[in-house]
Amino acid sequence: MRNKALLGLRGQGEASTAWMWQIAPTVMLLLFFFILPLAGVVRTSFYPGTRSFGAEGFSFEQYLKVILDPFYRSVLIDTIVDGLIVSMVCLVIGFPVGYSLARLPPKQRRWRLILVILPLTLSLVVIVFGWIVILGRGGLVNQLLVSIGAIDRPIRLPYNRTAVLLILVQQFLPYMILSVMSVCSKIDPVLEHAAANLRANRFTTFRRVIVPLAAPGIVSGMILVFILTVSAFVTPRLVGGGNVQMLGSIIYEQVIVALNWPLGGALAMVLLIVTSIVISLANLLAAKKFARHRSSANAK
Amino acid sequence: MDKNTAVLTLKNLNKTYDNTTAVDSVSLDVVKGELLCLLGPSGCGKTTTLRMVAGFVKPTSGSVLIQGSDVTNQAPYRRDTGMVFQSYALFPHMTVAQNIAFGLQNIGFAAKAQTERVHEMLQLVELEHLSKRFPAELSGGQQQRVALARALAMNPAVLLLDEPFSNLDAQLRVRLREDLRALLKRIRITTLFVTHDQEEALMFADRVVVMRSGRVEQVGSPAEIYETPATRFVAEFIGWCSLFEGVVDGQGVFTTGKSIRLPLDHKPGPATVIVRPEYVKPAEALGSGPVFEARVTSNTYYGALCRLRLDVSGQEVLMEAHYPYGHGPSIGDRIEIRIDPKGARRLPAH
Amino acid sequence: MQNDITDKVMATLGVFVRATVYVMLILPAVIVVIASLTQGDSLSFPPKGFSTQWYSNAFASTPFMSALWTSTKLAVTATVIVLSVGSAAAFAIARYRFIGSSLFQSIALSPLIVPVVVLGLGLLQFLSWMGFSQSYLGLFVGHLIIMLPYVVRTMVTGLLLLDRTLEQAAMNLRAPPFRVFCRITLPLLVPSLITAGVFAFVTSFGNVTLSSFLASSGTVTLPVQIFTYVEYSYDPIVAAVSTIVIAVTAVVILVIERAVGVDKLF
Repeated sequence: MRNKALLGLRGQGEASTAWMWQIAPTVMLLLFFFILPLAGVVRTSFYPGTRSFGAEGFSFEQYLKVILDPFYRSVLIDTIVDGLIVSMVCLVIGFPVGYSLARLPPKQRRWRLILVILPLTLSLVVIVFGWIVILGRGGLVNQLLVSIGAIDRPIRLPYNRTAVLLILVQQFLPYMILSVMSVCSKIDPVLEHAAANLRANRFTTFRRVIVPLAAPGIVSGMILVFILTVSAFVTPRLVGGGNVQMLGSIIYEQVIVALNWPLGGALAMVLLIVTSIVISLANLLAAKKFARHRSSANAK
Repeated sequence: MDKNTAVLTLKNLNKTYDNTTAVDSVSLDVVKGELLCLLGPSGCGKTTTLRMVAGFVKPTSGSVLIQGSDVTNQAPYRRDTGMVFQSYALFPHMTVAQNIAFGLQNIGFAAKAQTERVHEMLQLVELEHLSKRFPAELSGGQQQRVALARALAMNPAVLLLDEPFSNLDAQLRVRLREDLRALLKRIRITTLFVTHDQEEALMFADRVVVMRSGRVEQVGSPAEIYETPATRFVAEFIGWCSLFEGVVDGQGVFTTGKSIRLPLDHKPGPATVIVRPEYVKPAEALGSGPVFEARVTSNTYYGALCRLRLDVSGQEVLMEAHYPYGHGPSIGDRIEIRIDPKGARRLPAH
Repeated sequence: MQNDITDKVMATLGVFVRATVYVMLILPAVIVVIASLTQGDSLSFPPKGFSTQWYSNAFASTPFMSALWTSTKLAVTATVIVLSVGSAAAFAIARYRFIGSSLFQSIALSPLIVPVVVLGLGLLQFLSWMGFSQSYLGLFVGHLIIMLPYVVRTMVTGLLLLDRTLEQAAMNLRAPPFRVFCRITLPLLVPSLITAGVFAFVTSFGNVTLSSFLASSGTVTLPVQIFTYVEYSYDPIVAAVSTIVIAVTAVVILVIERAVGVDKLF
């Protein structure tokens, strides 16, 4: 009987404690290497001074610094704006791709999906490095510009915010595409035929039928892209050099280079708070707006 | 074993989920070689009853006996039952032959005996040529036969069939039903069978148990269930019928208000009477019986016959009749009908 | 006629956007592969001449090769551990009702949405407090945490999609629970296990964000090595090493495609 319970094959109404053994390793892992470390960041952010090891005391010093110092404040605002831009751009160009993937027959979908999954699973540094080759001095863009006579000599293209945002869009597009695809593949194509039969053109069908039904996928895709963008640090460091600062890159700098963990901790907490607010706002909105569609979709 | 010993016995079986009662004191005996059908609308508890027999659902109270021994608390994998699931539940990663051999391996058949038994079963269901196929490569009818072969290979004391025809299209269903009944009768296996389709129950079973919200409404042969329903629910769930509420007087005449008068040899008193539509005929088609004037309120064409709803001075009467091509009455026509008094059944008073 | 025009505009725009997106998505990888075959000493596109000299250099480079070995070892061992730990948790989530089940599930999935810089600082600090800073163990558990969501999500979905009547059918055919598990449940979960394992592997193998916080001189992974290298100089050896990463990733994706079919992943 014990065996049976362990394998989740128990009959109705049989109480079992097997689940405890099944979740125990994961609980330990999460407790020690996820929850406690995050709690540690909270504690560190309240240390005064700049000492990372053996710090003591409690103060709001770090937070005051983050809020009052114009440099940190502008980085924070810029980063949030960047997050909004990147997630909007990803939505606008990712939606058509995700939607078309959902509607394609399996054979055609397969290789296109590989094109989406490969950059998703490929190491970030490799992608960024690829862009440096494309945008760099001897790169593709410069060669093109020179050959059409737009410029005389290769110029330095990276090291600006536009380049960083372009690369971030490319990195995070797959998340948006897959999110849209998975929600769109659950929309019955018959609904679109019904809309067309009711004299809606493609744009009306898109606006009145597809977008409202795809909204949960749109929201979750945008949240994910926003979070990934505001915490990015590899791309701004490698492409932006010292010119483009983002929240993620200054946290990395404080933690790894300056070894100022209290300030890094406060910045990390600010980042965590910003992302939490965005997630809760989006979820609140989604819960209000789509809860009832979703329940009817589930009932089906 | 004695022919009349029950192979499967259910004693006062109950199942409650939270506060709803799914099965309410069901008691049954199924004898050797019998085809017993549990019939009822969805949610009547028939499938839960079947699952309690197989052991997938634990009864709240009551007991299940297989060949005289109490198996109520026995694990499903120790019970001598063979089940054909509604979805067939063929293992998608095993071939037809492997599916059938799976159970045999669990009861310790040697390799050679397995092969023989698998072959024998495939012969029985006429699928020898498909033994290497995977379930996904079979048609619905073939999958059903594999599921049956897999269950029968174990030579179970009781065969359990859970709506085995519901996933098949209408034409195939009728043929497979007849084939399956012949096969089960030939090997004389005791079978408990669940369906919501009354026609299927009537043609397939030796005995039918009509269930409604967890309770047994009536147990009887298909003819008994159809001809002499015990309750209004059974009368209306199975087939079509006209229902008359009225009184039987001292002379043995049943009347409802002014419209219907039928001789009925029963105790005087209030009575509910049902008449199956085949006992109602156009006046010229039936030699005797009282004549009524009726107005046609609907006439639905079914090919071999027409189903008519008639209004006999405010009382609805249903009729099934064959009319020569082009001679059927239209809505609003007045026609004369006779009701065969042999077909009038008084429902037992409750 | 107005209908036709909006329809046409949308169709044309759609084709254009989709083509641009697909090109953009794959461009960096393609460029890296092509650039790695240059004969010249500096990165340029199109490459000057054709040679495989940078591959010879890459394979001869101790830092890159030992980082490749560290990455591979880390990804393989962490995948094995996270698959067993995460699948067990997924089993509990999918098959038992227990108090806090949904809270447990959302915590297990949350490393996906907690910014990596926050987790990186947290782990770095916590491990140094515990005296495990700059150790392989720190890198290892960090990777387990970020791989866990993929495994839990994939396995929960797989388990919920598994038709439980198949297990009941097996029990009805007299198979005891352990046998049901080995012969029915496990084989039917193989596609989910492959998917979860592959995603876990590539997550670990390619990770640079968390690793750059936890790696130390003895435990540099390949992406971290590339990161530090590119911060100071670009030369074609990075292109060659990156091509190796691309190749590993592509092979792994093709494994999923063969075994499960990529279109069944999402």
